[in-house]
Amino acid sequence: MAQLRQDHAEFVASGAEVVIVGPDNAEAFQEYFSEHDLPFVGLPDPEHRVLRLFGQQVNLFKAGRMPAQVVIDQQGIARYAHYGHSMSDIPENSEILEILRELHSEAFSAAAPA
Amino acid sequence: MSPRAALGLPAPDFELDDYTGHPFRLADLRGQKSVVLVFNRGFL
Repeated sequence: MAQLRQDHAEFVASGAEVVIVGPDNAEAFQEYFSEHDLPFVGLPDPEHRVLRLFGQQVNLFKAGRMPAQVVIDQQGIARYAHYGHSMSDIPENSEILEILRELHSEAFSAAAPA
Repeated sequence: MSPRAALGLPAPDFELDDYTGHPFRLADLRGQKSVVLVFNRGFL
């Protein structure tokens, strides 16, 4: 989370919203986000609704692999997923940012007249 | 290794209240922003 915080400006510049989903309740989110000055959307999901929803798409989510990151493009299509093998197994920001820039330029060229 | 993204599956839509109580719906960002959805295990 602190790692994502470092490059927040770059995430914004690449046209992305960072959304954190977790099992903690709203109070715990409030406390953690304010303590670490996190500018992200924080979604308390104690019932794991979103995780289960994504888990139903077998290709998208392997059973219970956490932590996980999914990049969704502007058309609502999941384009990248990373599953942690351990708590510390998270992708570098640079890897996610490269994907976002790619998606951004893709969307831009699709919108441009031929 | 190229991290080229190509899953190509529509992400399932969902709606949840954020921690400040505002409703967040994934589909509301469609056509506007891409999303980095991070599944966190919990704050320690």
